[in-house]
Amino acid sequence: MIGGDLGRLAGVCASSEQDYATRGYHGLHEAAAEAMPEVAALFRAAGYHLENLTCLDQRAVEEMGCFSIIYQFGRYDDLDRQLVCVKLTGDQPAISIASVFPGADWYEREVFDMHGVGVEGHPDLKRILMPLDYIGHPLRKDFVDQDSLRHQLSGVVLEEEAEGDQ
Amino acid sequence: MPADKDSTEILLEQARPLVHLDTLENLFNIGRANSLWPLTFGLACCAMEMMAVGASRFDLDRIGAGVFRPSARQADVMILAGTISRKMGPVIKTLWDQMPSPKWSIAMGGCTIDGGPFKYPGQYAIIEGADRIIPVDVYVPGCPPRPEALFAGILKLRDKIRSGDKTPATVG
Repeated sequence: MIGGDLGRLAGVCASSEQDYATRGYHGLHEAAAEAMPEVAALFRAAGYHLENLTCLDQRAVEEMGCFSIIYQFGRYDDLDRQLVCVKLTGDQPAISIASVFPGADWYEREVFDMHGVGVEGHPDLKRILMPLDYIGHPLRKDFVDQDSLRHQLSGVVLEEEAEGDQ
Repeated sequence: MPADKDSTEILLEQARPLVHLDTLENLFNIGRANSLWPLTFGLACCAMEMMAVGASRFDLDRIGAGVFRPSARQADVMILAGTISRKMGPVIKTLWDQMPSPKWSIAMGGCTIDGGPFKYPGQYAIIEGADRIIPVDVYVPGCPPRPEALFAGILKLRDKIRSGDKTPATVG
């Protein structure tokens, strides 16, 4: 079902039809990070809404070696779910689609908060779930909590730690 | 009425259950125990059971503890009903500091006792027990505790206040 309104995706994505019964989505598209605002605009024009936006830390996976941002688009008038996968190598930031789907704003903040992936062009990129002064990004596979004592004791920065900051 | 007692003795005997000759502090404690005003706030699912305790089926007003105050300045008891996330920790601490003494706290449910189902080595999200940030008077175990259990916790707190006992207690 990738044809029709989504036909123009062919110019910016490598698309493939998927078996919904086994995969849970009808189409998979691989796009470059820079193309995302355009891809999102195409989906929006075709009547899709943003169902979900998440990130996977696949740096340790041999054939991947990167962060993947997964965008899920769906529609109400038809059973049709499309996934867009964006691979980010190194410190490459994602490009915000909040200008196209305002609902992406908080999703992108969550991706930044949990994975430490930057989002370029985001209106207000800051932590959303963890405390604003939290150190580290919990959903990275190599995450070790270095902040437990500080936040477990009283929410107040320990003295020696405060001295270290100066 | 026995003839060998004079009228003063009879009067004293009749009045004994009503008049407590004790220190002023104990008199205050009776008042405090019978007008526990909890702070109005809920942290997670335990708050549903806390609301049930306040409503007519269980009815905290029966023991004068149903006056949930929307301001920490007017509250006596903090019922910690739910998971304390790390982000919420400093807020709880601030609210506790804003409550005027004497004040008490009840840790309701597994989360506020030791982290409950959200505790695992290296977890990043919660504070593993309310007693890491504020002193706790009564622990009410359960996930969530039945409204009767929280009620028992408040009765326990009443007993503690009356007796002047300051050691932490557990229900059940």
